[in-house]
Amino acid sequence: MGSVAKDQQQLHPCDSLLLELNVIWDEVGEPDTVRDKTLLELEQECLDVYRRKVDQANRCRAQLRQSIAEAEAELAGICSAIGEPPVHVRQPNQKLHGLREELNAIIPYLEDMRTRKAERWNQFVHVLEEIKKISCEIRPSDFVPFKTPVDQSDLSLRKLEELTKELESLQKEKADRVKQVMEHLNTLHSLCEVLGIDFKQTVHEVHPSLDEAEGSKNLSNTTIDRLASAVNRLREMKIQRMQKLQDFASTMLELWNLMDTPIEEQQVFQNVTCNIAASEHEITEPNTLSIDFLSYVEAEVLRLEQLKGTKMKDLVLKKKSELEEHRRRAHLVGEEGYSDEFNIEAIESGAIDPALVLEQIEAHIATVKDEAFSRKDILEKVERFLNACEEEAWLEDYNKDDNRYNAGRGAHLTLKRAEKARILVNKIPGMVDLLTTKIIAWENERGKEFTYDGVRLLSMLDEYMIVRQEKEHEKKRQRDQKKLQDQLKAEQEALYGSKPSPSKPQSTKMGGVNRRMSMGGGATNRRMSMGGGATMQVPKTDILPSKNVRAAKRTEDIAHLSPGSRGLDIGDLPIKKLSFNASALREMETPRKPFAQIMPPPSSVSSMPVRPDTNVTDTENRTPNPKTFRALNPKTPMTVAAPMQLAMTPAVANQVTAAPVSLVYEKPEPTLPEEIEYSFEERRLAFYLSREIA
Amino acid sequence: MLVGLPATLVRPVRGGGVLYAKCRKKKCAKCAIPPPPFPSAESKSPCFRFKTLRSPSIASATALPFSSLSPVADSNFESLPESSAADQPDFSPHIMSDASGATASAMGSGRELANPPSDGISNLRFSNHSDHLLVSSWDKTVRLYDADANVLRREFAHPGPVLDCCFHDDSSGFSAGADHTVRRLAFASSKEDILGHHDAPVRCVEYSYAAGQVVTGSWDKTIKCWDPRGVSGPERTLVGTYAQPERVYSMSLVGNRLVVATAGRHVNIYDLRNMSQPEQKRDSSLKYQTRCVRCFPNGTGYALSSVEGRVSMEFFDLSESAQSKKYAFKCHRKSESGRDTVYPVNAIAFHPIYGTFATGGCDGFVNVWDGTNKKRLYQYSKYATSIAALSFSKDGHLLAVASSYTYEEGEKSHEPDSIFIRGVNEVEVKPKPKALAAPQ
Repeated sequence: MGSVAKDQQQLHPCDSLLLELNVIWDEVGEPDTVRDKTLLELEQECLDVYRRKVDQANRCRAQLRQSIAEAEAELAGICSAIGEPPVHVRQPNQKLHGLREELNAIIPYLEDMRTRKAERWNQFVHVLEEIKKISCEIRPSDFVPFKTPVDQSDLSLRKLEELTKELESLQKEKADRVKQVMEHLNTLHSLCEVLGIDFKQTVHEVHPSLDEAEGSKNLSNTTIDRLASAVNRLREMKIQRMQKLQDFASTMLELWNLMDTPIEEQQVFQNVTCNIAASEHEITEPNTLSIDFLSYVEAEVLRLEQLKGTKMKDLVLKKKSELEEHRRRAHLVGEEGYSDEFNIEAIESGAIDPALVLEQIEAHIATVKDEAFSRKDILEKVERFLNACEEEAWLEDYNKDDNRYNAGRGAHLTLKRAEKARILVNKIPGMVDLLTTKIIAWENERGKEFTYDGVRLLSMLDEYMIVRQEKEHEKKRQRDQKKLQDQLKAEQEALYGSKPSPSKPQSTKMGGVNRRMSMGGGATNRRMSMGGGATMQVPKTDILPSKNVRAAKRTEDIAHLSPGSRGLDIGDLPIKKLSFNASALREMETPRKPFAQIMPPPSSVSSMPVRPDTNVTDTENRTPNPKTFRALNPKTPMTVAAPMQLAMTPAVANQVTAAPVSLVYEKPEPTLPEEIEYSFEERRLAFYLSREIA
Repeated sequence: MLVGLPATLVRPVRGGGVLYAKCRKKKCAKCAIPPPPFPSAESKSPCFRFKTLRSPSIASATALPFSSLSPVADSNFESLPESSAADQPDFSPHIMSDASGATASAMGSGRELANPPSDGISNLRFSNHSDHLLVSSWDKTVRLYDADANVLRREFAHPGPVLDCCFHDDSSGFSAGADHTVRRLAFASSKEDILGHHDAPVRCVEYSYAAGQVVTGSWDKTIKCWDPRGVSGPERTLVGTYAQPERVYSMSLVGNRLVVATAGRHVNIYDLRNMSQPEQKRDSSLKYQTRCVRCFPNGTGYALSSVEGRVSMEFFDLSESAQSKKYAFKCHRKSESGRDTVYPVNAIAFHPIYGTFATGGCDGFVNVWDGTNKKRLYQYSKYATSIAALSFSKDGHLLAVASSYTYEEGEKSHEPDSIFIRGVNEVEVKPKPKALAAPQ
């Protein structure tokens, strides 16, 4: 015991307490068994207390470990979700002191990751919402909200990228659609404008959202389809109307042409007719195709049609007279009975369509024009021939005038004329030959007869030649007769002495008068003057009664159509030719011999074309004062040409010198050299091309 | 004897470039003696000179005075066409008289258009409906200007030089290209369709409102008619092809008449309603290459200019009385130190209202003439280079002048090409009857 007490100071409190308990027990005298028992209990209780504490600590440790594991798991989860490499908080080589510290180290990471995840999620939500919105706009009908609203397990950047791409494509699609819609709307707008339709209403019909100025428009497929169909519909309508308008315009143009509508009236519809050639896309002016405008144009066309109806008769008459005029000019008159076709009464009664008649007349005019063109050459020659015949007739009359050499007013002019006429008459057979060959060629080519004012020209020429031959025979006969008479006379004179000369014919007209009368072509006058050659009257009437009848008839036919005296003269032609007295001409020429010497060689004169001859008279008429020319003549050498043509007979000498003048005159300006001429533009282009090649 | 000896000689330069004439005759009255002084009242219109054209069948010319008040009797006649090229300026009283007050040249040359073509101007035309101006050029473009606003509205680029252009209406036009192609140009959309092709460069293009057809003339010795309505395909646009004796150089339309002037001095006159054959076939009354032909607005005839400073006025009517009215006169000539320079007459433009006309020559002058009274009405001040084209606006209040080198002397450096728009005073273009212009 003593040792217990001794050890008390150095011993554990438990030991001291045990010592105390032993002391107490000693005092009390507790039996050992109790003592042992109590000590055992005490020991047991101590053990329990220890055990409890250990358990508690153990539990705490487990808890810590669990939370660390959880945190790590979460971290890993987040990392994998957002697709980042997992963060290893616990570095294997770096030993951390205690679990608690470890946990504290993980938590900030975790927090950080959580916020990142939340951010990522927000991004996702944002993108998804956008997608949803756009999808809604694009295809509201078949839009299914995401079946699984994107599980949070996959929030990786890749996924986000995918989604963003999807969004972008959707946005692009949307932009495309917006563009498409805008395009459609624009076309629609221009179409509506051209067609005069209310744009807003049309658009509203397609989709109400479209005509709102602001705000989103419906972009679904159906809307676009409907827009497209609306555009197509309007375009078709536009084409229809355009065709209608162009029909109107062409009708209008035809009617204008037909009726010679004044330009001012046409000007009003210039905007219509200018579109006649336009294709669909070219018509852009507002309201050009609106219903109002179309009906306005239609009304004008109708008005013109009506006007045409009323004017048709006038037109037919006008065209008819035009046709007549053409025929007359081509001397085709009286060839066909076409006039029945264009019967005005029939048109008035409505039996014939005036348009048809017009067409026919137009066709006739065209053929007549063609024919006139083909006949032109011959007609010119015929004219020349007829002129010659006229001169011949005049000469004939003139030759019968015994007073023709009496000097009087204008006698020198008649002399000149006779001189020219004689030259001309000599050329007639040549003309006739030429004409005949030409006509035959023409007839062979065309396969029909060449008529002149209804009479076949060939027969006319034949007649003329026959008459001419006839005349020549007559002339010969008369000459023989005269010779006989002269012989007789001579014999009688030898027997009974000279007799007074036979009385002169009554024609004592002056040259000028005579000329005027024959120019006028009065048949009666001519017959009167023909009285001089009364001896020849008999054979003429025997031979050609039919011709005279025809001639008279022709004169009647022509009288109202051809105003020129020429037509009349043609009719009289055969008569005049008959009365032509060649012997008289020969007689007449003899006293003219001295004059003939002055004349230039006949070749030079006859080579002069016929035209200039007729020109002379023209010039004469035109020039106000021909005398000034002659007065100028000596002063101005360069004007030789003028007097040459003006004063034929007195200036014969000049005429001869005129030839060299004109020769010299020609020389300084020769025609361009043989090489090919080029314009500046051609040279420029050649240079341009050569430079281009270089 | 002086008879028949020409006072001067006109010697053609190869191919009809600028022609020079020299006075060779010592005794020539004209060259030796200056024109006699005239009374002051008449100093501006001393005498007239014109010549009735010689028809080929008549050996020598018939000369007529066209005014009786000429102070010198013999200068009235122009029986020898060269006689007067001697010593006076080309626009001297030799040729046509100046109407009173016309000697003073107009001040300035007009308003110059901005953005002119960069190479030679081949033609320009005013629209029939507005003051728009269509210009074709060797720089391969066709340009549409608003002459009023001085703005270039449209520009069409072609693959080759453009030799001519014309309006269809205000929304479209046509162009004739050296690339053998005829095009239709839509101004609103800047689009162009091809109407068709020739076998050689297309020299001129005209649109006939009467026939609704485009007529083109080409150096392939044809003219072609096109229907612009058949834009859908070239085979549907061509109405007809009509052979010409030579390369087409110039064309003009009036009503249904078409006058075609070709190389070799041929002139064919057509009726657009019957194109199968020419209505008339003529030769030019002038001796040298035809430069330009333009119909009178009243449809009775046409004016034709040649490379040798001369313009002839001719009539469609073949009757003697009408044919006797035709005449020719000299213009665009210059005399310097004894050398006479004769310039080509490139352009003729008729005034739409008064029927008077302007001519432009390689001398850079624009003259206005009164064809009926045979007077020169006005001369504008000289432009820097040749006058390539002229056009009056629809109401005749504006005159577009293309001052652009026309290649008469081959490739050389020259003044820049420019377009001038000038206002036209009535006094410059209104005909002056004889009685007023020449008081006794």
